[in-house]
Amino acid sequence: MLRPTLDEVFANVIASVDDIIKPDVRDPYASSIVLTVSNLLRHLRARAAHEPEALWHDNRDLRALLGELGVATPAAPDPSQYPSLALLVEEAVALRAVLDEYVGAHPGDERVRSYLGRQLHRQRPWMVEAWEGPRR
Amino acid sequence: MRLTKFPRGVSRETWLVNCDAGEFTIRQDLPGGSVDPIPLRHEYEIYRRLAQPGGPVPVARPLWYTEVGPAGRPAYAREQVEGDWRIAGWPDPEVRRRAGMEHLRRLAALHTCDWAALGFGEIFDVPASERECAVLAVEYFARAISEHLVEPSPVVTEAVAHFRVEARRFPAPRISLCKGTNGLGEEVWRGGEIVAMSDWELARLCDPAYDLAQCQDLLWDETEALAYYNGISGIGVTAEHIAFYRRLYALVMFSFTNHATKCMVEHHDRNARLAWVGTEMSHVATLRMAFAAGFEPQSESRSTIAQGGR
Repeated sequence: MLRPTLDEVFANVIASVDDIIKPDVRDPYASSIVLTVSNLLRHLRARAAHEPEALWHDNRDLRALLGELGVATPAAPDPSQYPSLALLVEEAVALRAVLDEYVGAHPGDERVRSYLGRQLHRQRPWMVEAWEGPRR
Repeated sequence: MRLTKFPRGVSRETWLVNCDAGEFTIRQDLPGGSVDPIPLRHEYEIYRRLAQPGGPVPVARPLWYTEVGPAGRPAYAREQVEGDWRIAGWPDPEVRRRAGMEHLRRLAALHTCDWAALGFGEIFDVPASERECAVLAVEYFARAISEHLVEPSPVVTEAVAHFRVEARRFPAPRISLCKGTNGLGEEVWRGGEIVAMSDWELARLCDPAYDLAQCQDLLWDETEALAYYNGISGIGVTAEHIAFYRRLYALVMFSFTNHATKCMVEHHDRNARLAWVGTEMSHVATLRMAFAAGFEPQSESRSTIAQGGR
C-alpha cells in the first residue's frame, strides 16, 4: 500500500484537528494546546517531506568544508548502507561536533559562516514556512 | 476550591487558586523542570526581595516556597493581584502611548532603586563595573546554553564569539536591577496602571538598555519613548545600547528554547508546547543569532511568531 502517502495522511489529520477538534474545545488551556498541536503537525508534515534529503546534502556540504579547512573528519558512512534518517542525524552530530571545535578555536572564518547560513536555509521548509496562525 | 491553569505560560506552570482563604497563584516547574535555565527558587527570591516595604515596583506578595509542591515538584505561592495582562483599549495609539509611559515610569523606578540594599547582590552575578554589564550578560547566557546543549551547535559558538567582542563596546551608564521580560502580556494592568509586574525569570543586574530592548510593543515611538525614559530616570540610555541588547536577545532566547529541548528529550516532559519552543522558537533564536553575528542576511523578526513569547 502506497496511498495514502505520509503527506496525504498528515493533510487529513491536520484538517480534522483544525476543522473538527479545535472549534469544539472549550477549556482555555486545552484550546491553546490545540493551536500548538495543529502547528506542530504542519511542522512534522514538512519535516517528513524535506528533512532527510536536506540533511543528506548538509552532511556532504559540511564534510567538504571540513576537508577545505584541513580538519580531520569522522569516517564517511558505508555507501552500501541505506542512509536512514537516524544514520544521517548520527553523521550530522559527529560532523558538527568537529566544526564546533574548529569554530571555538577560529571564530569568524568566512567559509564557516557561509556554510552556517546554508545550513539554516536548508531548514526553512519545516522550521519557518510550515508555521502559520496563533501558536498558542 | 477552584483550580484553573493559566493558559499562556510556557516557561513554567501557573495555577490560579480560588478558595475560602482568598485567591492565590501557584507557580511550579514543568514535569521535566523549567524552560528557564534558572531554578524556581530563584524566581521566588526575586519576588521576596521586591515585595519588601519600600520595594521599587508593585509585585504580587510571595507567600511560601517548597521543594516538594502539590505535584511533587518545586512550587511557590503568591497572592493574586486583581487585573488583566491585556490593556483596555489596546491598540489605540493614545492608549498605547499612555500605557508605554506608565510602563517606563515603573522601569525607571526599578532601574534607579538601591538593589544592593534590597539584597539583589546576594542572588545575582554582580558586574565588577559598568563596563562589565554587557560582557557578564554574554557570559551568563553563553554558560546557560552550554550547560544544557543536547547537540553540538557551531552557530551558537560562532555567535557567542561575536557577542564577546561586541559587548566590550557597550559600557552601561549604570548598573541597574533589570526585569528582563517586559511590556504587553508581562504585567498586570488595572485602570490603565500597572498594579503588579510579573515575569521576572530573566531579571539581572545590567544596563537599563537590557530592559528597554524588550518592551514588546510598549515603546510607542522609539525616539520619544527613550527621551521620556531618560528624562524621568536621569539615566542616559542610548538607542545604540538598546539595539545591542536587542541583538543579544537572540542568545537570551536560545538559552530558554534550548533548555526546553533538554526538558523534552532528556527529562521526557511530553507537553506539545515544549516541542514548539524547541523547534520553531529555537530556530528563530538561531536565525536572530546568525543575523546579529552577520552570517545570515535575513532578519527573522520574533513578531513573525503570532502570539509568540515565553
